[in-house]
This record gives sequence, C-alpha cells and structure tokens, in this order.
Amino acid sequence: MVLLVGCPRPLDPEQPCEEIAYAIGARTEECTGDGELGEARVQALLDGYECLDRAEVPEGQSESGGDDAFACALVLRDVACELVAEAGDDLDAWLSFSPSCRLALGRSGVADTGVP
Amino acid sequence: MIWGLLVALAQGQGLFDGCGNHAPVAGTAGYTNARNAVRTTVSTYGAGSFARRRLRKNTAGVMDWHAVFNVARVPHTCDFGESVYDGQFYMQPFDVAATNLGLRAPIFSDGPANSNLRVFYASSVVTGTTWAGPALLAVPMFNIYPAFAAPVVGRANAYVGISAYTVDWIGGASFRSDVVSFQAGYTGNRGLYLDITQDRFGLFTNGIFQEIVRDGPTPENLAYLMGGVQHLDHADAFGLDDKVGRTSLFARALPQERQDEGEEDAPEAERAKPLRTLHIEQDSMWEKWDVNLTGQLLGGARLRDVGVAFHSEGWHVRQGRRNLEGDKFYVRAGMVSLPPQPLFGVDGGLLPSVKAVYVKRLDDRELKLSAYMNEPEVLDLYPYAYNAFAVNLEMTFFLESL
Repeated sequence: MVLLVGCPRPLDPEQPCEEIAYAIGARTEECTGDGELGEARVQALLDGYECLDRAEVPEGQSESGGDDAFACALVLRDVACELVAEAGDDLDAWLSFSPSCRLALGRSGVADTGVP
Repeated sequence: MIWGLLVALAQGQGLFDGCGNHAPVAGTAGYTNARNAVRTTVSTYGAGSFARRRLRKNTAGVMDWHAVFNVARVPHTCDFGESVYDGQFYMQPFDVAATNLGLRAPIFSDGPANSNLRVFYASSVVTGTTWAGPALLAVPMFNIYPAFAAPVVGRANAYVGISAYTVDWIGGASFRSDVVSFQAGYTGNRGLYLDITQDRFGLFTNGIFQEIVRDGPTPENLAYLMGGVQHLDHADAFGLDDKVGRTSLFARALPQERQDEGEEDAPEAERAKPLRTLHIEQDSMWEKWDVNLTGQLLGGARLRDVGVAFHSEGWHVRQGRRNLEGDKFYVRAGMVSLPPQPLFGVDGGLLPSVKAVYVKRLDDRELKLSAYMNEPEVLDLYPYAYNAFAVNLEMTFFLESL
C-alpha cells in the first residue's frame, strides 16, 4: 500500500532539464497549435543537451526563481509567442532567453538537434 | 493514535521522509498538472456521469469516495531543518480525493407504462493535496459538507496554489417509463444537464452545457457530451441467447481544459482540446465475461485501451432481473495506450491497467470497494496520472428492499 501511494523522493538530476524541454514543447504547441512540432522540440532538447545536477536551492531562496535549477524552465514557460516564432527550431536561441538556462544544462556531444 | 499518525503524515514528519515546510515550484509541468487535476470540468463530469450511472432505477442515495494517489509529481523546495530534503528541491506526490453524492426522492410511481417521477440531486467535490499518501483518506471527511451543501457553497473554488478544491452540482427531475426515460437538471455552473435513455435498445445521450442561460449551447460551453447505445441486451431486445450479453457502442467528447497562467496570448482554439473517444463494450457474455475497446478519434487517432473482465454472475443487473443479494466481485486487466503529450510532460506509451472490485449487497443497501491502477477513465481525466493508484468506496441505498 505504502509503495503504491507514493512518497516524497529526491529530485531526479534530469528533472530540471525535462522541465525546460516540456516548457519549450508546451509553449510551442500553445503558440503554433502544432503538437508534433512541440514534441519534436522536446525530444531535440533532451537528445542534444545534458543536465547539470543542481538539486540544491540557492542560499536565502525559499521559492523557485533567480538562478536555481528551475528558473530557466519558468522563464521559457511564459515566453511571448512572438519570441517563440523568432526562435523557431533554434534551441540555442530559446536558451538565450534567460541566463539561468546555461546554468541548468550544457550541450551534449550530439551536434544535430534533430529538429526538422 | 490513528489521528496522530495521520497528522504526522500530513505534516510530512518522519515516516515518509517528507518536509514540514515546503513550497511547490509554480510553473513546472508537475505544478500545472496538479492545478489542472482540480478543475471545474472534472467536478462537472463527475456530477453528470455519476447522476447517469448511479441515480437511475430504484436508487435512493449514493455516497462515493475516490482517492487517486500520485496524480502528479510536483517539484518542491524544502525549508525544514529536520528533513533530509532541507535546502533542496525534491519531488512531492500530489493526490486527489473526489466525493460524489447522489440523492433521489419519489414524486409519483405506478403511472402509465410503469412510469415514475423523481427529483434528484447530485454533487461532486474534487480536492487536491500534497499530504503524502494515506493521510489523503481523511480528506473525504472534509468533502462531505460541500457535497451536501454545494448550492450554498456555490461554484466558488478555493482555488489557490495546488491545495485546492472545486465543486459542481446538479438539481433536477427524472422521469422513467418503459418507453423512454429523462433526467434534466440545472447545474452549479449555470448550465443544463440532460440525459435521455431508451432502455430497451440502450439508446442514450448525456451531457452538460455550462453557462447555457447566458451563451446558449456553444461548443465552448460543452462540459462533456456522450451518446450512442449502452447496455443493449440482445436477449431482451431481439430474443437472442442470454450468453450473448449486452453491447455498448457510444462516443464521448471530454474537453481537457487547461488553466495555465502563461497562455493568455495563445490562440483561442488551443485552449481546450476535447478528448473524443469511441467506446465498444460487450458485457455479461456467458454471464461472467466482459470485453471492451476504446479508440481515440481526434488528436492522433489511435487505439486507447483494451480490456477483459471476469466477474461473478449477476454483476451487471440486466433489464427486468433482480439485483442478487450477497457478495459479488469483478476483476479487469487490460492495456492503455497514452499518446505523447508534451503539454502535460507525458512521454506516452503502453501501460498495464488493472482493477478489482468487491460488492456486498444487503437488503436495501450495497457497499462497493474498488482498487485500480491506470484505469482508463482516470487517465481520460488526468492523462499525467500514469501508474497512479486509486481506491474507491461507494455506499448505495435503495428505495425498495430486495
């Protein structure tokens, strides 16, 4: 029963990066109406970038924001549709919308993002 | 002792390595899912489908409690020195408790064509918590008041953060006869609830339009709509062998409303995408076997779920037959196919689905206990709740004893 109902658990090191990918995918689908494009961008980010393990909340910070592991995802989740159109499939352009993005992830060895 | 344990669990102190002072990370996929899990559409669908399923024939009253554990997993910060997560992000499970209440009272019986008229009331309260696990079982106690007094509580939601609840209710009348049956009512969301059923051939339509007084029946106001054939008994309708059982073939549109803060400038058409499904079921084959198949019609047409169920004889109360007294059981196994949904942070894929139900029928009352995982209807309402475990307790009182 206890196993089935679930318990609090440590943050998966990949979680902040997945949040960034989901933020890009969700905002793409919301702004373009193209769910498949959103999914492609999610996959491209997960394939093309590596997550930096940053489970600790910065000193003196009680809520997410600033430069913590989720700050990048929170910025991208609310980015204006004009900027979504401008960035398009260029994931580096997406990640340039907030300096916190470079603190959460770095490029993996895969050069091709796979976005059509 | 038990209360102390629940409080300890609720405060997340010790047993489950929780955090006594935590805050969700707003804006993450898990947070958005938790917000969406407690939304008006779920309460409205809960009240409407409950009225159709449970307030028919000779039911006088029904109380139904659901607890769905792990509906979403929400990143949290922890500021609590005694916790192992102090100063860190961690994942907190988000659970949902739903309470459905239904009441009926007779106005007249024994009219022409075995007709009768009843008034009915149905309500649904959906509460979300991050209380961690078994403490959720205490939530139905808090839901009883708004379930009974939903018209007084109104449709005002305690909708702050993810520890929220929503309420909806239907008040109306039902007319039943051998020819056709109607349920019609006013809903808490200023809408119209309507159910029309022809029992012999199982034809039905059922749905709710919200804000119908103000806007009329527009697609945007559709809380949900379903219709087709349900429980067509081949023995009763066509004189075929009992072993053939009953057939259901119906379609359903269930808007998957989303309430993100960040979509003000999104195209209007993208704000609510109905989940349109086609359901095919054959139940009571050889009295003990059911099979079902559901297809998703739009948004990437696909087979959504298949399942096989085995149950005790008389599990489905067929037209013109008695509801058998005693113990009954039902077990179902199947597979659910979820499409990838980046908006919900859902990768998609095949999931095993299991369900077990036990029923005790005594004279004029019935007790039903259920446990299930990846139940298709739960995943229709909460697509991000994959591998969520749920329990259900339902008590029914009948107008007439056996």
